[in-house]
Amino acid sequence: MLLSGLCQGFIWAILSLGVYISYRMLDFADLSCEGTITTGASVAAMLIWRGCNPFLAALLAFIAGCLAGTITGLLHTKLKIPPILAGILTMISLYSINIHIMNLATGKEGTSNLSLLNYKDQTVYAAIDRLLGIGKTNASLLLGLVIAAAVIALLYWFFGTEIGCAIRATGTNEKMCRAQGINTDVTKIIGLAASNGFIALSGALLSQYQSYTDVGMGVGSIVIGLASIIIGETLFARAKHFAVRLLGIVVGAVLYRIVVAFVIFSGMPSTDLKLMTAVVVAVALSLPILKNRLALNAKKKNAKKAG
Amino acid sequence: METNIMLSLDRISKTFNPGTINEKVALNGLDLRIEKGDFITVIGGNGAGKSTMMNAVTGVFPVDEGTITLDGEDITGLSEYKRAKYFGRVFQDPMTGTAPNMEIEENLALAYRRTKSHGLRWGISEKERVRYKEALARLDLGLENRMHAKVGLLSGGQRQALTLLMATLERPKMLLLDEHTAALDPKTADKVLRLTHEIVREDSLTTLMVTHNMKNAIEYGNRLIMMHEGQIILDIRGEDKKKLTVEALLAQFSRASGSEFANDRALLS
Amino acid sequence: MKHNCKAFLSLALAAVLMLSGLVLTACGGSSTGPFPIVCGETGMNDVAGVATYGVSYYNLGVKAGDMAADILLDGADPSTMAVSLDPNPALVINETVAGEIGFTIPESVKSRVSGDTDATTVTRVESAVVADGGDYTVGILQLMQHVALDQTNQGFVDQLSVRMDAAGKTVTILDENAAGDQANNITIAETFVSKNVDLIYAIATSSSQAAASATTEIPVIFNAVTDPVGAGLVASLEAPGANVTGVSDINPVAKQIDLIGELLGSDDITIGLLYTSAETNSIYQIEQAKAECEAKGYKYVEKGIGDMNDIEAAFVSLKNAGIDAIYIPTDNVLANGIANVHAVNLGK
Repeated sequence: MLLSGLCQGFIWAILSLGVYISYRMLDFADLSCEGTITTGASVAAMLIWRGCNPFLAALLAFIAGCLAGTITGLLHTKLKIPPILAGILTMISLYSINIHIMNLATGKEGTSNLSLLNYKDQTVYAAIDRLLGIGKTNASLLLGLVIAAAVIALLYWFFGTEIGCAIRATGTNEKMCRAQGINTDVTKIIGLAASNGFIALSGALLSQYQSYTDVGMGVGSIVIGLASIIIGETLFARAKHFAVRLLGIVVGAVLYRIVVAFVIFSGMPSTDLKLMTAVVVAVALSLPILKNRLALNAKKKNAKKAG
Repeated sequence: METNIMLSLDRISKTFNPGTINEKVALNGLDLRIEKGDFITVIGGNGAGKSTMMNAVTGVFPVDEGTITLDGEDITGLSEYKRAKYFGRVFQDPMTGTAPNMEIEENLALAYRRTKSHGLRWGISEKERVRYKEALARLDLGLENRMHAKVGLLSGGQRQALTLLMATLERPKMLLLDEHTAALDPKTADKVLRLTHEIVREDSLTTLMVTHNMKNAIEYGNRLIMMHEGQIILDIRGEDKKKLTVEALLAQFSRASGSEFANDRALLS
Repeated sequence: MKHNCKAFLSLALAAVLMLSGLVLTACGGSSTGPFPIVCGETGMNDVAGVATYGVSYYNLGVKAGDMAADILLDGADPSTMAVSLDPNPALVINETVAGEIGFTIPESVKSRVSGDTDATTVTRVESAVVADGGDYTVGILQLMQHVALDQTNQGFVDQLSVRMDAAGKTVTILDENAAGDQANNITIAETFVSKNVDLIYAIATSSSQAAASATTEIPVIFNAVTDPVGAGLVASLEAPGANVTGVSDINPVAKQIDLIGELLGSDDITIGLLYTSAETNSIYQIEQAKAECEAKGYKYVEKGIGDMNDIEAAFVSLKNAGIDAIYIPTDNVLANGIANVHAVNLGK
């Protein structure tokens, strides 16, 4: 159960890091996520059907995600559509586009589900297993760990560069950015492209892990991403170093999946699953406030003693 | 003589919400010529068009009519971020000029790149850090020892001082100050103003300073303009400006505009 | 699940249909002879069909329960257990539509309508299902709460309990529902594997795929999957080839085609096959329909449409081809526009 949570946690961590870029760096509530995760999954599954190397398939899924993010960015910056609506527009249009992508694999119209059960030995996990001979679970763990670490390193580097700093600044103060010669349209589009690229990459890994892509698989993914971010930020509230904060999000995603797995494992009625999810997120959200209260109470007590 | 002009506004007009009941003519055929090295203070009543003029110059919105020429270059059609390399700006709200979630040195690094394109080079170099430290020391606020502090933790006065530093870190063609001390307490406001004066003098910057404070408007700069209903109604310079008093200014305003000066803050301070 | 839950799409379609209906009425229509129509499912039959066989999701669940019991109690090998269909689809007729189009349903068909379609309801033996510590543990992975899926769940447990009771055994059911969140599919499946359950019962395509992905050893029985081969769950319907087999909820296409021959009382007939060419499930059913037509010696004419705007032209072309009846598979677009199909058929 723990292993299962870990394996999936790393995959969802990549999505969460992607959501983090739009939600925290750009302060942009981007709902494209639910469409792009499926786009990534569709592109990867379709390419694997077509005999493509699974690693290359994942990379191309990343690029497809970047394109989707660019669309959201263009809708928002050039057509002045509010963030949430721009994201929703991309999300619903991706529903059709994802089916078209999957059609490319089967050669049939209206393919809403693409199975990888017959391509189980052509996934990234199988490739790692073949290479190292460590079994599927260990391969999943290793690959998840390596990719998550690589994404953290990449984000740490990128957001330290001039353009990365400009993107961060855009999210915190757009007016100031323009006064400092930053084209905020461009920074937003780059940020959204990167965000959705990682979300699609996570979809590509997920489809290979669960052996299928389904047009409805993105439903609820934004909640998982946000929950992971919030849990991670709460646990690593004191972290000053950017890389540590990113690590916190990975930890948040893994913990979240482990909690969900635990809820299921404990045999809690499945109808309560969503309620439990909400409770976990609410607890994570309120932890800082609870901490403050406790600290305040302690102070009062001390003050009384002193007085 | 023409070569000595830094900024020239020719018949600038701007109407907000045209065709609606909220229609407001903010600039009405405004003409202004600013010479290199001028330090101009701008005063005017509420809604006189002071901030609109600033925003028109910096390209926050396109103007309806007229041309804006900066140092011989027509910048009327240039977008805000492209004009940014020419202008150093400080805003009324201390929150506006800085990125609160970022460190002091990161804010300075952004400002340092105002005139450059953004690439994949590291966002801040060691060489820059030394320079920022020296520049911060000049503010005399102790910020040089807090380079890694988030700007959101600074006081309003500290932020405005930092914004001023950011605006002038890379010498701009013009420094634009839009009531940049209005949100500060009087003591801090004085300090920031003195700092402004120092920086402007040392770098001999062409400066446009909107202020609500008549005393400051008279005390600082070599030229004073007063705006009313989107036009310039008074333009006082040189020896005339040195002899000005608040009372004289108010009297001149009434004569020129045919109405009382309507800016409570200006009269109270 | 044959129908993707696309409520939004349905709404939009309904609006388009209302408009196109108006246009058609205004044009006066050109279709003359209404044809008897046999639809893929009973909901469509209620509006435009004269008769059909309907799948009962409860029956599908019962069938899956039997398969699970065969594996658990009798050691049957899932790799050689053929995928089942509804063993006993219910015949339904629609005399209202028949009257409207002036078609007489033969007595031979009428007499076979039993009316009590729930004849196969199984009474659960509560004592055979224990909260924990049963002789066997079965994990149920259901995609979401949905009437049809709930019925396959219920039928499964009912029948499994009866079989367990008969064998003097007990079973513990771990009933998990992904609540529509596909992220939970693989989590639930892997949890079952880590709990080392004796069998996984997976309801709906994506849940079945997740279960098949999670284990190559624990037997998996799927249900409510229209095309198990296309979904990669089995190598073929006859010989699944691995630890996964189950029940398909495809409508009994062959039986429905046979029904057309019965309704018309002749073998020398031409059937119009009307479907949406963009739907995988429809194409899959049409292939089966063509195979059955060929087996029975019926002639057929295929007419794929892009959307509901093509419906009148499709009828004209079918009429020109000299058809005697129409078969419409379970198809999202035509199911949503079935009222319009009926109107066009009546020549309105």
